[in-house]
Amino acid sequence: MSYQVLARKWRPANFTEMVGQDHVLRALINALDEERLHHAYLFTGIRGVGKTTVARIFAKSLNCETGVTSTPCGECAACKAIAEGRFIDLIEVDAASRTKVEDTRELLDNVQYAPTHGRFKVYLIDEVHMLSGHSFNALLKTLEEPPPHVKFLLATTDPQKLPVTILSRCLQFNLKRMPMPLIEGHLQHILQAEQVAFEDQAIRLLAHGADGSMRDALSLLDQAIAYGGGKLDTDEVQAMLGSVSRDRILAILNALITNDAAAAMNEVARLAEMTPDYQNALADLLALLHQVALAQQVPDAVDDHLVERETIQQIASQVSAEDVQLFYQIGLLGRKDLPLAPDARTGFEMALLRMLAFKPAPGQVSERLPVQQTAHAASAPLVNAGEQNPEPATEQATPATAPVAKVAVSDWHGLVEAMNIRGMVKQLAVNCVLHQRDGGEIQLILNEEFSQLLNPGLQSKLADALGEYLGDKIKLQISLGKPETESPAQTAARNVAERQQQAEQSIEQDPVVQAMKENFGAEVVPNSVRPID
Amino acid sequence: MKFKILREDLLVPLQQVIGAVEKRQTLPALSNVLIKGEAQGLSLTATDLEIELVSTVQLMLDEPGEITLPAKKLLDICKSLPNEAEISIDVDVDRAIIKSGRSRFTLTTLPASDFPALDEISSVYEFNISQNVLKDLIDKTSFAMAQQDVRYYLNGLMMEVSSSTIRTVATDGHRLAFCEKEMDGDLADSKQVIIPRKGISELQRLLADSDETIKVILGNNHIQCQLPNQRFTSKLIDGRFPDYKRVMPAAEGNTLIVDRESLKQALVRASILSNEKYRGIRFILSENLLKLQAQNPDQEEADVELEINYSGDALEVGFNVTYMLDVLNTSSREIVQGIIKDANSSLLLSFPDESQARYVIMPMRL
Amino acid sequence: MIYPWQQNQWQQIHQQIAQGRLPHALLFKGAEGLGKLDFAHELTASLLCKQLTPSGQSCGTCEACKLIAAGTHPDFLWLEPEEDNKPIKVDQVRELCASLSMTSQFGGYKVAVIALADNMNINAANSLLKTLEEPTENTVLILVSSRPHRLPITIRSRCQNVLFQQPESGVAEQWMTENNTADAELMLSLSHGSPLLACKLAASEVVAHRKSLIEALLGVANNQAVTEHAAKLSKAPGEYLLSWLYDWISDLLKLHQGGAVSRLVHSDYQNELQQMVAGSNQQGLFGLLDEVIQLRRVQSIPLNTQMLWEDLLISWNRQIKQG
Repeated sequence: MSYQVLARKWRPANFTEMVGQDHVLRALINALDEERLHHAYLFTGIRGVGKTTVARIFAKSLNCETGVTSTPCGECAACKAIAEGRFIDLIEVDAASRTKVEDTRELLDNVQYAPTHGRFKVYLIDEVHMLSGHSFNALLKTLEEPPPHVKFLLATTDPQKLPVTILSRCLQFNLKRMPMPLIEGHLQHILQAEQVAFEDQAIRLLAHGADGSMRDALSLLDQAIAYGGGKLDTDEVQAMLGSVSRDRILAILNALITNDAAAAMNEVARLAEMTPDYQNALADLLALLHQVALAQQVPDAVDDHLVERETIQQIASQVSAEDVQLFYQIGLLGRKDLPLAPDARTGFEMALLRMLAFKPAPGQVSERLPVQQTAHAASAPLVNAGEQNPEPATEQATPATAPVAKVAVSDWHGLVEAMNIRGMVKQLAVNCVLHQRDGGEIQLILNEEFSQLLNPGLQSKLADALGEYLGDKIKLQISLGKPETESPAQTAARNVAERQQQAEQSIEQDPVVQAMKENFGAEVVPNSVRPID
Repeated sequence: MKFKILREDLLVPLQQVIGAVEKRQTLPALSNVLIKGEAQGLSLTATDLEIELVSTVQLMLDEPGEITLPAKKLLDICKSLPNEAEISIDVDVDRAIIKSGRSRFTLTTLPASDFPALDEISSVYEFNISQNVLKDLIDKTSFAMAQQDVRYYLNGLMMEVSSSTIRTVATDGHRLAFCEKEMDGDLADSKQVIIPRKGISELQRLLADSDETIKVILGNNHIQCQLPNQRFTSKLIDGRFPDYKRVMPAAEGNTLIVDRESLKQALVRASILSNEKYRGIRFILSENLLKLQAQNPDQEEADVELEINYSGDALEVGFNVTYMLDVLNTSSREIVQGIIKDANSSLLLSFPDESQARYVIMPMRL
Repeated sequence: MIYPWQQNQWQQIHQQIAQGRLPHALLFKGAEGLGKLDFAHELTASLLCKQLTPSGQSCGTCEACKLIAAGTHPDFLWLEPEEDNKPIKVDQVRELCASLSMTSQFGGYKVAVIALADNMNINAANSLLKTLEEPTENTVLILVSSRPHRLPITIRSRCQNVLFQQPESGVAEQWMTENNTADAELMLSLSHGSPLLACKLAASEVVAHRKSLIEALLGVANNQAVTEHAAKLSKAPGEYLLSWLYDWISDLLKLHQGGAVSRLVHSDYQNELQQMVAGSNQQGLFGLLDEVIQLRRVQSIPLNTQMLWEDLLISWNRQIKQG
């Protein structure tokens, strides 16, 4: 028999085995005990917090041969068959493999039939947000008038994508992220049962790495047990997680606050020897910065358990709150950009160097500001440096500041040319057409072939540029579509083609060329004609 | 490898195995047929990695050996040659020369070691059964198999053997077909396998209406049937079949007896105006009368009455007409019997003259 | 094949196999060109081989190994995009899941490798979730990805991760030299430490485009017109150029802050880079770096590359003249 991973082996079989989610369980247990049953339930929450598990236990509760109960017996044929994944009246579907309307219809057509074995036919649709619009409509119809023998259990990690019409017909239960202590407790419980020796700190690292998901925690635990050859010690877990000892990260932070780029790069070189996961390393740095900021503003809130509590407090006294905020902001953006660097180490290094590059020169900030003020300042978009190209000092005479004749919005093509935009923002603009303008609100349609250009960053930059040019605050909406009119990019492409055609025509019609063709059998080399600018 | 063979001696086994050669095969080796020449004769093997077919023919080879050749092309060549033609095949390292009369073909080959042929399967239980009995077991039940269902254990036919019986069961969750035959066996416990849909249709094609006995081997991963000069092997569905006994209602309740043919015709008539998608028909049972009612989304209606033998409660219940017809078509017996407890319970159908098969149909909401 | 820099991962997994703790879902992640797929292939072979070598590798000669080499082993499923640069489709994944619902042909493991797993489109990825979490017995699914952040977190959460890292330069160079690669050090540097990419690069024409890029950067810094340079660059493979442009800027930024001279990517142009430091503006260079990052994000779409390169070179010209 093959190895069964811990996440499967320890999947709770009844409500009492569940860890956490008390608020959801209490409601479900009451409903079952009082037999006040709804026909559709929606379980939401991040991955690995128990959505499917709750749904399966609920399916048992509904079909247990001892009667509808919050404590399914686990012994009867129905309970056993559900546990073994062969209960004929539990239809567990991935919404994704059923996104085609026909598929969903076919599935839903079958709700008409009475259950074969159990009391209820239970449809468990996972990742239900993946259904297509048409499929949602098909589901909606069924939810409006469900047969009494059918229960729908829907689960999703992404409830925002569900139509409100579906939401309003379901009883919704939001499963929470697993808090660290609960994860730690459960891991300890399992390790004791599995008779694996462990160190508390190792458990803490795993729980931290699980990031709120019990399944992630158990996957990591599985791996850690194998890695440690049957026991769990801190160093090995650390190595496995690719997490770096706090000392190394602290050393980097120290280099940052002393404004020592060379030292920071040397620390990265030392880090590299441990083949770390740079995403995690950056996340750890952010977590430290967070602690430092806390120490500065709410000293009592610093985690008592932190080994390096004193170090943090010391750092907090050495660095300005603005710098901490700046480092944090840049670090956050750095995490996002890390996968786009040619290699992770360089991406990590760039994030560090950027922190130093944008740190105000010592003379620039006169004194440390009182904490209250900086806290306020911090909530404002203190730095956009990470995302935006700060306007270089040389560009003093931009069209926006010069009093030139304005191009009207209705002339989108002209406007795009007149505005001070370039690069990706311009690519976005030239592939849009103007749909509507209503005062400060401009609606554009982006040619759907270029849908990847549609991101909030570019959109806000375009909005800023428009605002700057028009001297007004602009609310910009961009939707995808097939524009009926030509976008500036298409016009440009057409112009090029037309000019090419003209050029070729004029060559063909040129008397000298014609004479040469006739007399000498000359040919114009295809594609060699170019229009003159 | 080198041998001469009569066209028909090669054509027949080729046609027998060609069903296992996958049409849209992306792996060249799997669009080939494995040809093995040994002292006893020639064997041809084809597989799509789910089912494997082997055909054998007695032959004296000039030179033994093994090789794989493009199956479809070899078949086309054999077909194109005149009856009774003699074919000679001579396999070089990477070419096979096929000659017959004044025609000559050169085919590419792939080594036999690239071909995933099964050696022997590990047997858990073996039994002998006559072809027509096995065929009947399959024909009577396979129509109820599910198709591409997420409950993957339903996408096949369950076969269960025990000391004295062999059973086949299929269900798609809305209906179930069950057939049971007596068999001499020596199995202490019962053994269950689920044979995938593709294997079932291939088996139906292979089995003849004869009472000749064949050997069936059940393994943990395979089912194998050894027919004269042919061997069929299929993978199994890796899962456990639902507990079908829970689905079969007790054979007691309101009982109706009806002429199979007239019920069938009445159903066909009423179904014309049933909802094309759901195919639901209302069955209204009263003293010796069955009234069938159908209605489609355009509000058109059909009412068909039929005299039956019934003295139970007055009942009104909906069924899918297709499922009813599927059952009626499995038998040529005159009389069909239905048992139903109440308007919310399933219908148990059987043919009294033929007690081995039973069918369950779930009611539907109309 | 197991490369010298994969020994740790290999031992790790073999320890798991020896302990009977091999999980059913693995995610091999790490930069491109580290041989993750070769590793997955060898791991699969070692799971299916009938006569393992004492070191736990496949024998290469048994019946199973021969079938694996021929790509016809019935219990070894390999999934990748049907066409280059296209996503893995939902139907492919469904078919895979259907195959895995059957028993194994040879009675051992059933192994499915999903190469370029991050190329699964969102439907494909979601339709894998059930099988990935609860496959039939003796199934092992290996997902391989050099861009694991693109995989839905619901997929990642179901797998045990195995991280592959760039080898130490000594190990990589030695391996490359053994494989007769010229310019091992530079190629390795230009490939960010991925030995297989470095070998590929050494054998390809692409590296010539780097010269065009650097000529453009040096030329434009001396106020040459951008149009012609841009025209030349717009015909070269953008993926490489953008990555090398990123490196060029990051090299400059590193020099700017005076540290870590030893680890430049374009180390063969160290002098040129050094000379530019004084005339360039750090914050502006970071702005340019962001433009490159932005472009790398949307690389796959058909944009007007001439115009983009003109823009990039103009920005470059601005940054380099300041100071």
